[in-house]
Amino acid sequence: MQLLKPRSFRFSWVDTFLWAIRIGALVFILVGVLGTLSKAVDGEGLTAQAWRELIVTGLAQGSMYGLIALGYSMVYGVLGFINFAHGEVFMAGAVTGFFAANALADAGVWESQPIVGLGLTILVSMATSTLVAVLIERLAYRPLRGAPRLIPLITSIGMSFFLQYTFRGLFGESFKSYPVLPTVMQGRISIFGLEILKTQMVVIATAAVAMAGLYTYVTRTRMGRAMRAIAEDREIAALMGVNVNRVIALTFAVGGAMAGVAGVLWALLFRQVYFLTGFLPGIKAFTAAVLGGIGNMAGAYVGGLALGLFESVGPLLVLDGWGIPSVSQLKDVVAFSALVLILIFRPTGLLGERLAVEERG
Amino acid sequence: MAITEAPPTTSVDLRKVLRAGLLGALGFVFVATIGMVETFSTKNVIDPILSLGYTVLMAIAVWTGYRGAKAAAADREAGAGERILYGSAAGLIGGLGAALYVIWINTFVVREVLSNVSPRLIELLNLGGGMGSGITLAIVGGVVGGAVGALLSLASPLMRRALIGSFLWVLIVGFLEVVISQILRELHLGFIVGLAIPTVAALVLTRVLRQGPALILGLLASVAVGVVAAINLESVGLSMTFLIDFVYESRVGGRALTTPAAVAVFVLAFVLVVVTEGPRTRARARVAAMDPEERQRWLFGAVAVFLGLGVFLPMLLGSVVNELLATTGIFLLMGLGLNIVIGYAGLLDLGYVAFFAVGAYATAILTSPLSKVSFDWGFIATPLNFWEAMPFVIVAAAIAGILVGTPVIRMRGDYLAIVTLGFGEIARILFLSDWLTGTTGGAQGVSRIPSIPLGFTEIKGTDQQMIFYAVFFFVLIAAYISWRLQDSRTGRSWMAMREDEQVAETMGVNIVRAKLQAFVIGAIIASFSGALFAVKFGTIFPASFSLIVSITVLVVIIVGGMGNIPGVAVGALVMIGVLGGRNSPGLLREFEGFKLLIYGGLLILMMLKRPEGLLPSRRRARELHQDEALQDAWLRAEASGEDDARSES
Repeated sequence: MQLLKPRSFRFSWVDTFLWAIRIGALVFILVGVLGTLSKAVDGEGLTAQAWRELIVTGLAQGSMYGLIALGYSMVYGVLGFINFAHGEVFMAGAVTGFFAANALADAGVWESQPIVGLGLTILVSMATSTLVAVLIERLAYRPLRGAPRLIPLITSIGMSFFLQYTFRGLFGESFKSYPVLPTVMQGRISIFGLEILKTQMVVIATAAVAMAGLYTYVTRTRMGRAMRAIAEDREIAALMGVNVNRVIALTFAVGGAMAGVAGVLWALLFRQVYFLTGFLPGIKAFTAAVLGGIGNMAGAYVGGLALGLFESVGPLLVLDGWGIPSVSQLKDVVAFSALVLILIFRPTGLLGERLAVEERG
Repeated sequence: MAITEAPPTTSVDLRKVLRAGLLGALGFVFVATIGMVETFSTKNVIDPILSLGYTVLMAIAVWTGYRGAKAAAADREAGAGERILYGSAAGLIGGLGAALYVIWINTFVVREVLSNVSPRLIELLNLGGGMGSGITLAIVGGVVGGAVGALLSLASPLMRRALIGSFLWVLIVGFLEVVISQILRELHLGFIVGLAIPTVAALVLTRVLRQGPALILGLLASVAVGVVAAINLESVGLSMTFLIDFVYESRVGGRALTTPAAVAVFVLAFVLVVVTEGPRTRARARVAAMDPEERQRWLFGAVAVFLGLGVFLPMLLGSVVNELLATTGIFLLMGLGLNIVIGYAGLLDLGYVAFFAVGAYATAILTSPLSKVSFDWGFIATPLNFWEAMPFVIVAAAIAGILVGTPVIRMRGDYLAIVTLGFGEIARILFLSDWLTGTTGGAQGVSRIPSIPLGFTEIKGTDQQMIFYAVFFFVLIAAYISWRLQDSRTGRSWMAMREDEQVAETMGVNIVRAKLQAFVIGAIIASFSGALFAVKFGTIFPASFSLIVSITVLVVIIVGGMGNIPGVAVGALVMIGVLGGRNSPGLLREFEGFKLLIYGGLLILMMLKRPEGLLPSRRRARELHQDEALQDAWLRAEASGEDDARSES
């Protein structure tokens, strides 16, 4: 909040500059939107149907980001550091999920029993991701508790590359294509007059279910309460009899499991996975976590949905209005700019209570 | 970390031995499955008995045994026999694990999933024979390696250092085959004289004169003498080529050490380590006891020697090694810049590659005749030459530094890291996008970047030796800037900020200015690096500016030692020279595929074991071990308090 309210009235270049960025960004977005609108009025640009599809696509990707973002958010809540390797946890699930799906497809289960097939694939993916998450916590992060803040972050960057190239070494560098979706899941379905792809519906629904399950777990169970207690104050929680190490490992496990679900959902949307699959979604999910307010579970989900929307709608809505060619190339720029702008506009995120900015004074 | 409250037992903690063994087995399975053993087996270390692949496996066995023996002696005095027993036991457990793995890959076809478990790997692990010989090899190798490890743990620290050090020297001489045989081929009396004269002269001058300017003049004069000597004595030529055939054996997959040479190197290194132990300790003590002025003079001497090496060595090295050195220098330059941002100011900038890209693109766009950017201001018109473009490059980098730096000024360290990473990616995607294709050329990039004019001659991108000199020149500038900044007012305010931002601000450090200064200076140094990169390759693409570059530079300064200039240099030589940078293989081509794996592993390992780096800055190391120092102080206070209490009663 400091950002919005300087303590004393004093001219400062940085504040001026930040205000200039804020105003500039607003003007840029407004002009872009107006440009797109004027195009729409002229009958150029996308049709209403295309916009709707973009929104649904955005929501589907966004719910996936939300699931990954949970891992960042929960770990940040408990340990206060960014687990840069979380994107790789997601990748681990997606890649092993591929082998499960392949085996199931060979056995015919994938086609004849789509629900069972998908469920088993998700289970395998969750198991791997959970395992990887717990292992990296045990081996790399636990010995570093209490170290200066940047040290675990650098470790997690190292871990991220280590995992990526371990997976490349283990399973090769080629793209792995999931088996063709069961016929039941191909095509479109109409809900509320919206014709949406069945896969996208499955993704949104699965993510929502996983999210609801996790929310219940964290708010209703003993372990969930322990988790929240540790996020509140680790030392006091330990004094109250919470087994800190176990709960932290559990936090990593739960975050990993969610990333595992997201891994299979990614494969449903894009089919292909490989050892670098985790990198971009990882950073974007972090953006989503910040957007929703890091340390806040509902925030991660909301942030994920918002980021998915920004990313799919933003380029066409804002950049196209400026007459910039091939805006879809700039999708990632929109996501990263969103991160920077959020941290400038509202460092606490949409629903957050934790400050992304140094608490000063 | 929990303190193990082990009662003072006399029994060995067998779980630790078991754990050491299992870890060893895991290590074995890991390096075999990800394909390291197979790839490394093409590199012979000692011909024909030892390839790098087997060396790695052997090292794992020895390490397992060492840990096992340590575990046996953890809480008590263990005899030699006992240690060897437990070391071999750990090795045996590891060997059994490895044997199970060998059986598994021999029996099942796992290649469809684990793509690197190839027939060749199986053959290697079977030692060319059937499964039986593979199992035997695994178990015997495990036990023997374990016993050797246990023996190592028994040796005195000096002995251990000498043994491990000598073995490493054998590896290094094996790895440096390209460099060493090149030097031996080129080496003749003239160069030796040419090298010796400036070195001796510099040393004498530092002793006699106590001042910098005179030293530099004297050094220049002696370099001139050295060059003349080198040219004139070339005809005398005392060839050293006969040595090459003794040291290296030519093989299909490159050249490796011959067995006699390996033995010779081992013995020589061993003797040197043991014999020089005393003098080295004394020298270290003397350096520690030196007054600052004397140390300064020695520093000048060291710099002079370094300068001499930098000028003369490239003449001997041939284009392959010079290119390697030039690449290393480009990364070193970036490392020096990032060292200011991270090492001095403590700002973890993961988007550092953006400044490198800005430098490269600014140079390319302003100097390439194909560039679509053109202006003519009367006194200056495009295409510019390298030196004319330099001021623009510097201004562009400074602006980029301010643009990236300002929004993140108030962000906490970890957020700063991710946001700068975002900026780095934004820069790359923008350079790649159709939107800016008019200026930046999209995926094709900018080509035909001209050479650097230099009076009557020019530095062509293809002339590796000249490029190296150009890089070396800029590295010296950057090192000088870093060195001067270190203890300046700015440098001290950075360090204060790094240690505690709020306290620093309270003490009157202008945080905003300090952070922006760090970003801008770092950005300018990176832009030099980018400009040289552009000239060296003549063409630049957005693909050359990915996040990997930032990470590589981060690894360089972390391995070398953050905040310390020689540390950064060592880091760059080790990481880039040996492992290779982005898109450029290092000395060990076999490492190419595992470079990033090793980078990642090294980052983790360094953070866990030695966060201050190989050659740390003293200050930084103290910061990182503050907790321990505090604990020690507390314990000491506690102990003295007890003494006081006792004396009172």
